[in-house]
Amino acid sequence: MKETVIEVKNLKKIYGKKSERQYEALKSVSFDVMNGEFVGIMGASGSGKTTLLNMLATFDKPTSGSVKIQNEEVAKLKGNSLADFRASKIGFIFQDFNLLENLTAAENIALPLSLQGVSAKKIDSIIVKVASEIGIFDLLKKYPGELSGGQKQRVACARALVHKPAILFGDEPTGALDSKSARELLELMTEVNEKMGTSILMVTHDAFSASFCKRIIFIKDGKIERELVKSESQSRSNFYQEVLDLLGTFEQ
Amino acid sequence: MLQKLALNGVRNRWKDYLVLFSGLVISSSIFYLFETLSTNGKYLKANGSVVSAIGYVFTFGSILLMLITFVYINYANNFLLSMRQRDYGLFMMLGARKKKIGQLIWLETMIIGFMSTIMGIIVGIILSTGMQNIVIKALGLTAKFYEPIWWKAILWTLVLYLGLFFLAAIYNAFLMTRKPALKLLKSQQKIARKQLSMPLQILQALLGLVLLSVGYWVIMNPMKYGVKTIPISLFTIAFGTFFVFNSIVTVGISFLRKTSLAKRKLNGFTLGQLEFRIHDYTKILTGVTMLLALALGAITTGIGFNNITEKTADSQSAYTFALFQPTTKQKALMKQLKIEKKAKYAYKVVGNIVYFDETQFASQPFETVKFNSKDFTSSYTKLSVKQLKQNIYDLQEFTTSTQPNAKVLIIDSKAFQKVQSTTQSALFFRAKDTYSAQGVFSQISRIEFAKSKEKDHAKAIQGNYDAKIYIVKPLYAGLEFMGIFLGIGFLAMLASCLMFKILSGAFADVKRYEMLEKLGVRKTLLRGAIAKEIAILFILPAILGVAHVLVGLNLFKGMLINPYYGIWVPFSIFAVLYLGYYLLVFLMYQRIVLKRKG
Repeated sequence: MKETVIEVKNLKKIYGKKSERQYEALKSVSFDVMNGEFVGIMGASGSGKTTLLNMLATFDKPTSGSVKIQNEEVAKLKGNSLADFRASKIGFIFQDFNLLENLTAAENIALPLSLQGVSAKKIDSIIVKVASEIGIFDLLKKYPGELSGGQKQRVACARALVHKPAILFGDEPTGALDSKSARELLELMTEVNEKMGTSILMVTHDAFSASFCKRIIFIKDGKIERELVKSESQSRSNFYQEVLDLLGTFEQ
Repeated sequence: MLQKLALNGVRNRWKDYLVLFSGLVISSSIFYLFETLSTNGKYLKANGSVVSAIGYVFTFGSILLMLITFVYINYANNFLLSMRQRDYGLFMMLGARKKKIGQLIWLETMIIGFMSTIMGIIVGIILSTGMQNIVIKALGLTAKFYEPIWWKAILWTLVLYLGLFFLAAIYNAFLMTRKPALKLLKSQQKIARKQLSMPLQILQALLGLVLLSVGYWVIMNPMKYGVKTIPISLFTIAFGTFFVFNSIVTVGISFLRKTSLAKRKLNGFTLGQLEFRIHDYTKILTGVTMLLALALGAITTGIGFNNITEKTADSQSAYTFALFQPTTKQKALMKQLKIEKKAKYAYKVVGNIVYFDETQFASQPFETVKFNSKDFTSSYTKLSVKQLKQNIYDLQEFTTSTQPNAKVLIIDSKAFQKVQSTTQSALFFRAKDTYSAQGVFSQISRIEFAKSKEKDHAKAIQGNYDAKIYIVKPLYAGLEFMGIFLGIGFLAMLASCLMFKILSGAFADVKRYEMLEKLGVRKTLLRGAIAKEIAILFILPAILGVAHVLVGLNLFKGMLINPYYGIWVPFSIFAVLYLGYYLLVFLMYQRIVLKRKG
């Protein structure tokens, strides 16, 4: 039996104060993400996908509705408990890496653990383990400035995973990468999902990236428009084609 | 349209502008304060006659302050640029002409410069008036010929500041129009990490230590090097400090990063920040250290002069006052004092001779004082009649008041009774807490002067406490005023320099702290990280600066007897002011970096 990791119910987000012209970015969105899933959220710019992600990742608060991560109501968190929640339950890969450029790769990866008060010895052994899994062991002593985009994103990925979060969020993680690095990163994420069993939710507008997911939720004008599930037997390139076809009908 | 946009930019960030503006006002007002002293020749001559080097000190101070001002405006300007370049980059993206942009930034810099200089002079006049009053009230001294509104100072401040702003404006306009728009937009993303090779760092560390010890040694032996002491020590200590910061501190930080301490909470981040910054900071930290040493040294010596006034007055004789035929009013006044020692002697005056009875000196021995310059204490020795007869001057000093140019004779009881004259009585006493009792002393002294046959005030009250204050005080008053004045000026300047340097780095940190917040770092932890980082940047120069002062005070041995006496007073005053600046920078930094809620 699989548990739900994320439970989204009637989520709404309205921008602008009451006196001003308001803009409804999300209109009552509901869906669940089960443990171990690899879910993609697709949509054109302005569709509300980033708004959705920001609320899921606790960076923004919904106007109404609820987001539960491992049965905890996220919107109610504030101050320290919010920070602690982020630090322990959430991993995040950003489009622009968001690595701290004055720390080495190892130090960047160690940060979530340091925050949780893990002992220095333990930190070292965990980093070595994660880094070898992700294939960045050789890069540990380097500074972000000395790494390529793909390498940076792998480090960011390691940082997002090191504290074993309940869910890994990705915000266009391949957006700033060349096609080869992008493919490598997506393969890495698939591996993380399959071998480590980490649940992943990724926002993208790129059909190729989305084709790595097991399930894709399409958003248009703040509403869920469609959902695609990849069947067990389906190959990735076949799924990719299906996504492209669907997108084609979407635009019309 | 562009003017409107630029103005809007200013309005949106008026708090940041306020920081810049107030910093510049502080700087120019301090410069003005200094110039009111250093360009006032009459004042310097009147107060500096005690120390021949005073003119030299001021020329030197003036040049130093100008250099600092130059560095300071450079930092302030960088702060302005780091605030503005994104906006201007955006304007360029929107298709604004480079020439127009150049004009705008030129105008903006000049307006800020002009307004802050004028404000600075006004504040400077207010400050110097207030300072004069405070110093006079608190220390009970007058700074002769000191003028808070001094046109030469106004002129010099205007010339220097407007000149520097003119240069800064040209530089800004040049920079803004030369850099491609994209670079301006992304200017905050570049980072640099310069790492020297290990042997080079070790070499620098050694060089730094050698230079520092040479400097210290020269200061410890000022007699050997004479006039050259100050230039040699200043040069060696300044460069020594620089090398120490550039090597030992950086090595120390990178060493700390490798320990397990760096893996606790945000320590690693703080150390990383510091390691990336320290090379950028070595120059300013050196400057701040030197200024701090000068400021602390100036305040310490200033207060040292106050101590010495007090103590020299106390230590001149064993008695605070000798009253001849004390009046009832004087006796009443004496009740307000804490009398430590009292002696009453009968005397008779015949012609030019004052007679005392020797038996009275046997039963109440006359005392003399011995002053211990190490801990500033006085010890008193009782004189036997024989000793007193040999050192009759100690007694004669006091009798001048009642009988000018009189001879003092101590004779035996029988002879004393035979002296054909009325028996009069002299009251000698020593009071405690002399400093706070100065008001009562001057009243007693005035009555004594009225009784005296001596016309000259100073001579009439000779030997008495009040006379010593009267003579000693003006000697040191000017120096004391100068020391405190300079010290506070230097402190304000150095702290402002450090403030701008730190704050202009703050804009680049906004993104980093945002990132950390997204990673789930508690607000309190973020604040703690900022507090630590800034604290280290404040503490490093403080440690070396204090060391420099402790050694440097040695130079004042000649003037101050013991320059280390009561040293905790200026040090704590200084620590409080310095701490205040630290808190100010911390709060401002936090406001820039953690402005978002959430």
